[in-house]
Amino acid sequence: MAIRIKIPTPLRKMTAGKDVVEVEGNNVGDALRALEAQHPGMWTKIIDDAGKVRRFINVYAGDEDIRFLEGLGTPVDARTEISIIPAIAGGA
Amino acid sequence: MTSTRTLASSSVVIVGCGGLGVPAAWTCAAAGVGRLILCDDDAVEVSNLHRQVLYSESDAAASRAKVVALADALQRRFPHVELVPVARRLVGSDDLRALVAGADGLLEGSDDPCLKFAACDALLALRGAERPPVGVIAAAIGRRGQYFGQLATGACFRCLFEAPPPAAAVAGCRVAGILGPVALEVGAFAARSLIRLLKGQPDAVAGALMRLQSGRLDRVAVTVAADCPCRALEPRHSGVHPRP
Repeated sequence: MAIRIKIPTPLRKMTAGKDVVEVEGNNVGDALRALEAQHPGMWTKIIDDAGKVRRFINVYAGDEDIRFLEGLGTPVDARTEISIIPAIAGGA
Repeated sequence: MTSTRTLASSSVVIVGCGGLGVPAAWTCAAAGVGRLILCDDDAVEVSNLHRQVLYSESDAAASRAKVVALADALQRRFPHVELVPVARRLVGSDDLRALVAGADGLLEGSDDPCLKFAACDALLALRGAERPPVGVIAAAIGRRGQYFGQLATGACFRCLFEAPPPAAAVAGCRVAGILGPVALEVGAFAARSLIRLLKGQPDAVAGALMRLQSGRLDRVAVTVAADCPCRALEPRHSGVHPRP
């Protein structure tokens, strides 16, 4: 069951420029671990040492922030698109 | 909100007079906002000119304060607008709150991630005011940007991002670059949304993050987080989600 993960621009240098990566998994955590397996280094960009999503990043499953669902345990299926949304600091 | 008042009697604070603040200030002035308070502590540099389009080579050569150069440029084109330059770095939410108190709107477009949270906190502190201001918090870098609309009720910027990124994780425009048209687009769109909020009109930015990425603008709805400071200010707590 392929899950689509949308990769934000600043992390695309780690996915060879891909804006979407397809992975296998039954929940968001599994999907992000599969993303890490394909593109090493992604996990620590998104998840902190305590195993939580970093405070300046949001992960959405479909239209819902996973903080308000079951966190990394939020179930996903082939219809779910995972989005990674980092805060932008620049004021240009 | 100012639904019963005109833009001409409205006052807007613009924090950051760079790539976002310049088009935002122009958009506000062109729409008829009566008073603009321009805040920035930087001077104009040649490297700014490709995107901060109201500044000139002579401004850069003279190292003019951005707020002064911007006020001059806007005054020439929009003589009806009252322009108040504030040529210093704002520090913390109390500093911002003092500026925003009495204003109707705040547009945060500085290069300081901490100021974006300070803007959020200042708006929250003023939610109990007789006329609580509305705000749009904007950022852009490289080829992407985002802006968030914070109203007198509903989700705040801290419901979306809990804390600023660590300094080591921040790549400013000097390092990561910025495409001029992206800054112009994000600044102008953010101001357009702020104007709609000021007029009491519905806008997609209300309680949501608008993201410009790969040439597309999309919307991410934000929900009030259970342990967010804004929750205590909500008249009703229904629909609030617990934060793990």
